[in-house]
Amino acid sequence: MKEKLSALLDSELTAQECDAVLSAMQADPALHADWQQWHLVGDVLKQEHPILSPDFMSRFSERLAAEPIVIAPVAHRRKRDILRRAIAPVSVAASVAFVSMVGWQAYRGAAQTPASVQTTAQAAVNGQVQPMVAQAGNNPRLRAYLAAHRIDNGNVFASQDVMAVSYQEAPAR
Amino acid sequence: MMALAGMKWCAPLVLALGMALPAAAAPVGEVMPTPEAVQLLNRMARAPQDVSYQGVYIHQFPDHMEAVRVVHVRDGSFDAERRESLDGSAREYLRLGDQVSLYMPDGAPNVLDRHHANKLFPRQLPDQPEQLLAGYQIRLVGRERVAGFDTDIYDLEPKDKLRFLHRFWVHPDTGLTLKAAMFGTKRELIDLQVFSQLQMGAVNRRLLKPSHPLKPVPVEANPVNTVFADRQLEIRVAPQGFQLLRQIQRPMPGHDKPVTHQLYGDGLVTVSVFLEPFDSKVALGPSDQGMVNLYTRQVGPYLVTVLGEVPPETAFAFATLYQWRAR
Repeated sequence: MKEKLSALLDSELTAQECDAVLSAMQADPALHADWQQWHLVGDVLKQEHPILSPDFMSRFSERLAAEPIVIAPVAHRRKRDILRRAIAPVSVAASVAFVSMVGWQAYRGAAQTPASVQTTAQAAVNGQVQPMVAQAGNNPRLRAYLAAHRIDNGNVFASQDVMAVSYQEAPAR
Repeated sequence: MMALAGMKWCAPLVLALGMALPAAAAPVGEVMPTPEAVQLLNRMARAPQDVSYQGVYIHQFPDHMEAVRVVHVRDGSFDAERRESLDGSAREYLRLGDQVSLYMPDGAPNVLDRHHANKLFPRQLPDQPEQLLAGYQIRLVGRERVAGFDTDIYDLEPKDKLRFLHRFWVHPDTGLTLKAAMFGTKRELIDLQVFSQLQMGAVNRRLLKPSHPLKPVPVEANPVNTVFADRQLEIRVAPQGFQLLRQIQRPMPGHDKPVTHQLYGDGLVTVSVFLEPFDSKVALGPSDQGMVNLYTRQVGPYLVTVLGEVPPETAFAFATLYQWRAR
């Protein structure tokens, strides 16, 4: 079953296999714990986002409730058929449910992580493992360059927060 | 309040007018022939300078959004513009002719570049917009209502893989851009600016009165020396459509000496190149930060860092413009 779980993690399963593994995970708490820890290790290794804090889920729910209406361009909207209209609310609900589940798993995972997992993963990061594309966000040098670039863009209103953050790190000029 | 009431009253009228008027000349879906494209671009570039308007627009970034109130008054030779942020920290911008004043609690830039000082939405097109046709082609892709007005939607499609798709929603009667968006390589939204409320026509000059203590910011008008001092560093010609706009020496945290900052632009986006002595501790290769792509490369004794709101290919292409000539 662990191979199946690993394959699920790598998105290599068919829809039916996914369902099977997911229900197995629901039945077997040990499998569920593995799933969370693998994700945590992946998160630490990839450093795509900060490790989620234990109160992630409650804060996420609050912010979801307070979310403003997102204004996004509607490209060439065609007439939607009745079926799609009927399905839309369902798919929205499904998305929310999915995000909630992922968030909840992350919350559980973070809460239950033995310290050793984190240390091992961190050691791996400090070793040879190098991500293909680095994130500039945690590099003060690149952050200063980003800020300089934005100033020269001339958009005095944009990205003030980013600029402010970058300048906090800068010594007196 | 008056303005709002006027707006309510005006919108249906203008809407009806807009529908009654004949559509733009170019048919939907075809690439616009060059003469028409030039005409359209010039109209779009002139409109925000010639039309008086006031309203509120939303600037949406991938991770956050901001609302800005904008007032532009054009009356003969009188040309003034005031902007005020409505979200986050209070910021204000006032332009009287070419003189810009700012209020920024986080510290205003010491100097603004002439090329960019007055290029805020909806006036982001360059003064000589024909240059855009070197890198983009234009297509009318549809019509849509924005802020209560009917608009024509024009795509500025990249002619190569070095830029992103830009889309403009243009008010047909005035040529004013009511909405502008930039999309990434996967058609994901990178940047969006859109009026949520707008009134065009006569605007009361009293709305230009600043609400914060503003500080004048000098606008650099003199052409900046764009030749790099070390002639052993060969700098090749930038990709089609891009021009070297300026070169400045910029003090940077962690550097004893200023870093050379070269700025390129194609009229819609800019690319920054930073030149500094090579440092073996710095990671080379591609990286990204939100909508910005970066590329870092060693060239002889120099470290070249390229970044901009451009595809990763562009950052790499600019990095390879810099070559070391061994003696």
